[in-house]
Amino acid sequence: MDDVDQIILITIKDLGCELNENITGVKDFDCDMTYEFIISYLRLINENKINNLPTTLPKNMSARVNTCSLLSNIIKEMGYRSELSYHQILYPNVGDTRKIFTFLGQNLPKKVDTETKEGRMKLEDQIALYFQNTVKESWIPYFCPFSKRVPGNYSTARLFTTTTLKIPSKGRQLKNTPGLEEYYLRVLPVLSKQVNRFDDIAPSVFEYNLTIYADAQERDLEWNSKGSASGLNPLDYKKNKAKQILSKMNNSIMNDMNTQSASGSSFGGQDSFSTLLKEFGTGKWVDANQGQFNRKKLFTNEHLSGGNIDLKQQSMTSEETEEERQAKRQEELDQLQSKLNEITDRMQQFVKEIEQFASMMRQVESENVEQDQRRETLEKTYKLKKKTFGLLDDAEGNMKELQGLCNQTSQNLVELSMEWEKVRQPIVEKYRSIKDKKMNQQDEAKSKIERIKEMSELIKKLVHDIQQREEHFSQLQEAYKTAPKDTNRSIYTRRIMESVKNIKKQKVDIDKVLLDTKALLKEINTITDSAYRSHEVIKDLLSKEDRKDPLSKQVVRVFSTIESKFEQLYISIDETGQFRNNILNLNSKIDHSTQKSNTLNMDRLVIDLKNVKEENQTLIKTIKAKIQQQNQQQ
Amino acid sequence: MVLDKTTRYFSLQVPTQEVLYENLKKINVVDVKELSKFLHNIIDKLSGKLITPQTTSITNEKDRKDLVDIYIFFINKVVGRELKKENIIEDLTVAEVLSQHITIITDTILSRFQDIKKELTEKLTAISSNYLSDFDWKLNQILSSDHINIVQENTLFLNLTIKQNQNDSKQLLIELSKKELDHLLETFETINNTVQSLKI
Repeated sequence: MDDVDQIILITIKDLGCELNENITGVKDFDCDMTYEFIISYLRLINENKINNLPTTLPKNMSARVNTCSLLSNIIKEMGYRSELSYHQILYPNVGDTRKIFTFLGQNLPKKVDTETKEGRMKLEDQIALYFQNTVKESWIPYFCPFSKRVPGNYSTARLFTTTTLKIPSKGRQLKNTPGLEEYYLRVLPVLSKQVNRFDDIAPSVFEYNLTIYADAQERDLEWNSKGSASGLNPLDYKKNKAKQILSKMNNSIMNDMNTQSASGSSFGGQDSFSTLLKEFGTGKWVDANQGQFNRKKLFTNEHLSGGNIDLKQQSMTSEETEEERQAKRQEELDQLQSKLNEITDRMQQFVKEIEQFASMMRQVESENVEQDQRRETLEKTYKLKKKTFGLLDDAEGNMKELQGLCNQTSQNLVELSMEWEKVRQPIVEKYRSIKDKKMNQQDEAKSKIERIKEMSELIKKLVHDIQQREEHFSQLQEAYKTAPKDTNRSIYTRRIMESVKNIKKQKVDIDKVLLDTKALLKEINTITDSAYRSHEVIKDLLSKEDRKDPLSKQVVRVFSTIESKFEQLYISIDETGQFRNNILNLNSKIDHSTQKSNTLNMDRLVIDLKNVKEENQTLIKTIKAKIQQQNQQQ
Repeated sequence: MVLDKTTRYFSLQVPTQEVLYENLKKINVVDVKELSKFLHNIIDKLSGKLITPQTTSITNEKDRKDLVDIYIFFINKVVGRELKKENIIEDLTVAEVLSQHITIITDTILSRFQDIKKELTEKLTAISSNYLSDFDWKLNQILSSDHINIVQENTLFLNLTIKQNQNDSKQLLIELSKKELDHLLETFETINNTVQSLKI
């Protein structure tokens, strides 16, 4: 029971009550302390219930009884099963008090957890809690009227809008550009002022962070998939890639330009720029064969002709009617238009002719080349034939000569091939060895790259591992920091260990006792058996010798009396055993009742009774005095 | 990079605009202490922020506006041609800006060079073709239809705001089932890969 008391004492200390050092257990509690402690327990469990109750016991007797009965009712309401009324609190006895405190302690723990940790709860926990609550709540769209929304979480939800942020960064760039630091220090507004609305701050920061993260991740991915295989260091790889992209772009632009200029050349060698301009033109000039220059020229012509008309008009008399004038103008316009059409037609014809001529030129040129080739081959064959005709005169001699020459050349060839073989072999061997070497090197490089990849993966894994460990460590450290320093737990565990040890010892003792009892039982059995046997033997002996001797008869009689006496003895022994048990039982009962009577606090009760009587007497006195006063007044 | 100088200035290609550069020297009036902030504000305005560059040295509203405009023009030209520091200094010297001002102006422009370039590139891409300016999405769950009691199918409404020709914007609403959405995401993945291969 000591352990229970210790736990109760520690909890009471945790609750913030002052404890005297000489209090070692529940048995030392007096009624004031008991009341105070119960109140502090209840304050944590449910503060509303004890709002009406004073923190300490009042001095007045009747008030005391009242508060205590109220308190006992509260505890009963909480589900306390055993008997409880005011006197268990006012006159505490060890057993009941212990029961009350263990009951309260069982109700306590959860509350203690949440209430005591609230203050030092980590930010993450708070966030998690907030989100947990948010998840429980039903969602209402942002466009619903405010009045219908539940105040709190979702009522603050709004559209996700962001602003691009500019965040100062340290590094090489800061050192290299002179004005940048000044800009960061003086001009660049703080992050919270860069956004247009206050609500945009968080989304903007999230977006900024995410873009940077995604960018870094993509780069990393690319480097892992392509970069590391290329065998360059990251900077070189980057430069290489930039070069490639630049050349690609240049090529595509050049190609485009070429196709455009090719289409432009079909219009009779016009400037590609003018065609480009024409494509962007207003589209009124549908005629495809006219370029910028032509258009300009025509435009000025028109202007001039318009001027002419004006001049003419001025010279004309006013007799001309408006209609005539218009007709004239129309005529002129038609004329000009037809002229223009004629010219354009002619232009087109010329262009076509030029094209035809060009194609003809090409054909003729190609024919020329072919003819040249044919001529060369014909010349060759002619030369060969001429030589053979010359040699035909002395055919046999020439044949022999030719054979000799052939033999010689074949011999020469063989020699040459032998020599070539001599030269070739070492070279080939060298080539092969170099090739092998190169292959080996490539293989090595490949394997090395693979190893590098493996290692980088390992590094990543390790880094991840380390991060996890560090997180774990920091969490543990946090937990350690937040953990109470008086280490209740260790005390508990130590105590538990001790009690376990005690139990083990006791078990060993019990085992020993059991063994002893078993041995004793065995002995008893053997002894009783042997006694029984000897008894039977003696009986037989006596019955055999019964008739011969009168002395034996006496012996038999004595024996039978002894037997009966022994039986009586047995019975009496059994009875004494029973009595002893009864005595022990009664003793324990007496102990129990004495304990009860002790805890009943008779002395205190007597004192309280005295107090009550005194109070009553004083009250009676005052009443009497008042009555006297009234009488006197009357 | 060797620059061909078509006019008196590195940053100009059209000779008629040289008249505009005569106004560059008007900045000499601005106090040296205010100059850096003034220029940064001009650059902010250039980057699309609603800001009016202020300086106490110029009281006339029109002059101030003119100065801001001409410097926006100048900065556009300088960044557009990717001029080196020496060239900017030379241009400003030709335009008869005070030497003390020149260093501040060049430093300011060079410090924000990347920002301005990014802004200009964005503006440039905006004129050429359609581009996505904003998007919104919502997830609907169809619970039942007139024939089927329980459907339980998710559909995604994707609303794309596409800008055409700088100012006209077009709304595009797409309804996607899960399969279609997966397909779309796959396509985006390939697009992203292509873009990635073009990114330096």
